[in-house]
Amino acid sequence: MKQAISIVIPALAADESLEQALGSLAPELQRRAAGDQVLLVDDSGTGAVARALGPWGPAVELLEMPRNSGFGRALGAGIAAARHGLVFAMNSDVRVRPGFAEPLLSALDGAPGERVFAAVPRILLRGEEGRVESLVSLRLEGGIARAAQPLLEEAHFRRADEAWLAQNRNVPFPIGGACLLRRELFLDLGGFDPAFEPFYLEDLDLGWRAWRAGWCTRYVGAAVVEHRHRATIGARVPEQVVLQAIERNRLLFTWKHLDDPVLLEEHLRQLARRTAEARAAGDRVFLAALCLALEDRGKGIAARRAESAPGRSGFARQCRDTDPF
Amino acid sequence: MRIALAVHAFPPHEHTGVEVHVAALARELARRGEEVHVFAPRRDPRTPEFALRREPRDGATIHWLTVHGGAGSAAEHLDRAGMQQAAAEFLDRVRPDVVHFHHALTLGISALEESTRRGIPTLYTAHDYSPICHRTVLARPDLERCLRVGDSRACARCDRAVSLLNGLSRFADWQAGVLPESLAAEEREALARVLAADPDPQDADPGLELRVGLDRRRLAAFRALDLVLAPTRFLRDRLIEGGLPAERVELSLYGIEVDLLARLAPSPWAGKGARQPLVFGFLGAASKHKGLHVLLEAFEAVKGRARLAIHADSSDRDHVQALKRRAQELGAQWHGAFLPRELPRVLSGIDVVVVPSLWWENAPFVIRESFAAHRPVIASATPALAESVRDGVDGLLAAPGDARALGALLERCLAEPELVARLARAVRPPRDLADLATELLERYRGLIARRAAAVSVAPGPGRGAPRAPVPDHVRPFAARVEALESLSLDELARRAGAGLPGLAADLGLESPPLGEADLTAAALDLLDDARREIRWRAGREQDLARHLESARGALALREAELSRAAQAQLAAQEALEREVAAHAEARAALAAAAQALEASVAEARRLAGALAAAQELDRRLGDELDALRAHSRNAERAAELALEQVRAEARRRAEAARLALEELTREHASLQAHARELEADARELEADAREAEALKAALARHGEWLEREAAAFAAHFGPGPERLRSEQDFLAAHQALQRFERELEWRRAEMRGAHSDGGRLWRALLARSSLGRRMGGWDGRP
Repeated sequence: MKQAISIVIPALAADESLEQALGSLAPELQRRAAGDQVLLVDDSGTGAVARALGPWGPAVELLEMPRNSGFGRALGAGIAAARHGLVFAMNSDVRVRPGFAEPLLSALDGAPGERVFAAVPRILLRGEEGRVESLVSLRLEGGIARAAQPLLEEAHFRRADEAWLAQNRNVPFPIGGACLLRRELFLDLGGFDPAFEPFYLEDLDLGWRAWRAGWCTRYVGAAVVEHRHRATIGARVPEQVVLQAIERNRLLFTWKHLDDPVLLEEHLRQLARRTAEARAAGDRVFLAALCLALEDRGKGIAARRAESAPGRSGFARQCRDTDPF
Repeated sequence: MRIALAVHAFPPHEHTGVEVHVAALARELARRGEEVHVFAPRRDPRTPEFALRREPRDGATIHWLTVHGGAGSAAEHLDRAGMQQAAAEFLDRVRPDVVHFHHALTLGISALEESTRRGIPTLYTAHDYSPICHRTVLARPDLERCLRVGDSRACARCDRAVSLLNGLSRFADWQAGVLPESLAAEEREALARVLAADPDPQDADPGLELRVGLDRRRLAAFRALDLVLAPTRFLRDRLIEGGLPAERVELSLYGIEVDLLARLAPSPWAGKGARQPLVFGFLGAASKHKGLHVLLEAFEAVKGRARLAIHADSSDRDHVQALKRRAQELGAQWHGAFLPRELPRVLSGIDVVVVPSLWWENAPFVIRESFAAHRPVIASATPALAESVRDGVDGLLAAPGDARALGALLERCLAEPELVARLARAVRPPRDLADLATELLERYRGLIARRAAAVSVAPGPGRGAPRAPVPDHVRPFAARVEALESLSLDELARRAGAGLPGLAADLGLESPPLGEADLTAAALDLLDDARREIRWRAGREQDLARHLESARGALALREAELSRAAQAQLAAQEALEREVAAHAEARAALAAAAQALEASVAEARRLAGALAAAQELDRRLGDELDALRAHSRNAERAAELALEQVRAEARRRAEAARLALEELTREHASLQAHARELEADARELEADAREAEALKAALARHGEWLEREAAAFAAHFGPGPERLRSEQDFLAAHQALQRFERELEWRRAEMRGAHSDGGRLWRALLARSSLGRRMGGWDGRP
């Protein structure tokens, strides 16, 4: 018997993207005939998505957020409300390709002795073959964590061949916009950390916490979806705000998870230097992000203290081990 | 409040009216606790163009922007390349709450545009007519006042006049205006023509197109401002007339630092009984449009009875020299320029200040300073000056440029001893700078509040403005980002740096690695980096210079090579041209020859054809001739045979004749018997006989002829005449001969007929060929 999944889609509006997302899911669900659930989380805060669903209404279940809460909270609420133990988190600007679900389900079984928390499909940016968003790596750049997507860069994606892309491998975290994850574990981990609100890097943090709890994230090359990328946030939020959110969250993530005292001290030295350099070079983005992170560091630091005792350590090693490049 | 004051120049590099005013305003605003940043260009050859250097001064921060050289063109005058980026750098560094421009000269309008584009509340104080006149003074190059505001065609004429005057090399720094008397008659006429005439509308006028484009851009930049302040109603009205929105152009009277000047002792002429020589004074720029030359002419009326103190200078050196000479002639004192701090001393030595401007003078600071020092003012009677000086109350007004009228006013001051005192007593102190500062701060706050109400949460345009509304959950974070965006770079860095020690403690590091020493080390490293960068750049520059030098050398060599090659090429080309010409001739000759040859070939072909035809004909004729010859020979043989037959016949017949003759002989014997019988008759016949004898003689002669003939014939055809012995023989022979002749004649006729047949065929063939002609003489005989 096929294993049913819940597909949770947070949405701000019932727009063309959402329509395409649902349009790509419908034949897959019909083909699978596994009793899958599609749970649409209306994050408009006004019921706008629910009202504008049109012909898709009967095919989906709705969860209305009482107010606009952001991707992390909406997805978290959807996962909590999902009927099935396996949840496919899906952005409203993602389109699945036929046969996306089965390889992901298989991958969750994992190799012997390996516990897989989440399986992330091959996410193609704008549907372009080779531009894979989900083959991610985590590195320290100037002492600050940076989640890299090398295949989005021209030089790399041209070199990646199909055999390599099709191969399953461990990655540091699942992309929140499209991944199959274990509902119970997600809830046990506490879902997304609100310290990263309003958006970005909450999935990195989640994947890292899962790793600390002994679970890994698997990239699955045979499962393919397409992503319009920032069609939801980029269309509504000024670029400057998005940039600041990313930069601040890099700092928060570093402060939360960097567990090597030597690296941490190096990080602080780098921060001091970067501050002086940014002052001289007029780099307002870094300085503002640092100010924001310093203001918000309380939650992250508290979480660090809470999580520092149990679980794994070895930030740098994990970065190395999960780097597909 | 973080206030940016932008101005085209600033003390101590420049200290004329506007610059000194802005410096005083910056001091006053800083004194009130505002954060004041002055953005001002300066010429500094030690620093690269657009270098931005900070300097704290009187509580404010001056951001000196290095500019090298002036504007090279009308377009550059309006917008200097690189200035937008420099303004952006300043605004990024300071993040002012408000930007107050006091001029767009040198800065260019891209600085204005950059400020308004960022949504920063931006205002501008018009100290002259810059927003509506690219010459700033609303005066033509011949110093005629202009009232054609907003007429780009008139402005383009000014451009052309400036070009004309720039071409007259004797005016080095003519400050965009010339006195007509300094021009030769033809130059005056040319200038007048340029200033009077519009170009033919049918003609394309690139100058006009350029001017229209520049004026449009300038106007758009000024129209985008939140507020424009004008210190006189006249200027305000002109700005609105020139296209600025009336609701955003407001009157704002100048304020000056009054205190120091107010403490000056009044002029001795302000009181009673002061009878020192009256001192008229001129302060400020000695540019032509300021009218000092008019004052000097006017002063002639009172020279020797009053004094004239001139505290002025200008870069218009020729004009200044002329003024100095004239001042010396008139006994006026030329003191030259003075520093702002020297103003009280300068004014203390003057009783009446004269402002003889020729242009639409606006609101000169010198009038306010004079009034602050209780000195009355004689000024030109222009509308704006009349707003500052009340004629007959605190000053006097004379028609601008009218030296006689101005001289009359100077004379009046001397002739009416109480006049100066009365005017001085009526002088009211000008508006104080503090009052202006209060007004400006209120305006700044109003603009900031208005802007804040108008803008969304977006930090500013040009930064990826979203299409849809910002989601609610993002708003608090976006507001925080926006708040940080409004901080200056220094403040941001300070906040960030201040938070680092706390972070270290939170992260549980035993000894926080951060501190002044670390920051200092980082700063020193940066400094080292910068030094290395400079060294590298210097080295690079030297390398580049060497490369440049070597490239120049190579270029020179290459140029020489190219020059030689060009010459060789030229020679080769000429030779080639000659060769081409020769070839052309040869070709023509060849063509003619070819034509002739073609004709010859055609003729040859035609002849060959004819020859072949002739040969064919000849061959055929030959064959025919042979045939004819054979035929003729056959005919001849036939004729010979026939002749032989005729001869045989003749011989046979002659034999028969002989036989007949013998018969006749016998008959003759019988006849003789008969003769005798006839003897008798003979006698009778004797007469006849004589007659017969005569006939016989005749016949004998005829017989002899016939004999000869017959002999000849016989010699040819038969028996000789010897055979014709008797008359009968003869007669018989004769008859036979006649018969023979007839026979012969018949045969001949037959031969002729045969010949004639052959001849006819022969002639017919000949007639068909040219051979016939050649054979024309042939009579048809073979």
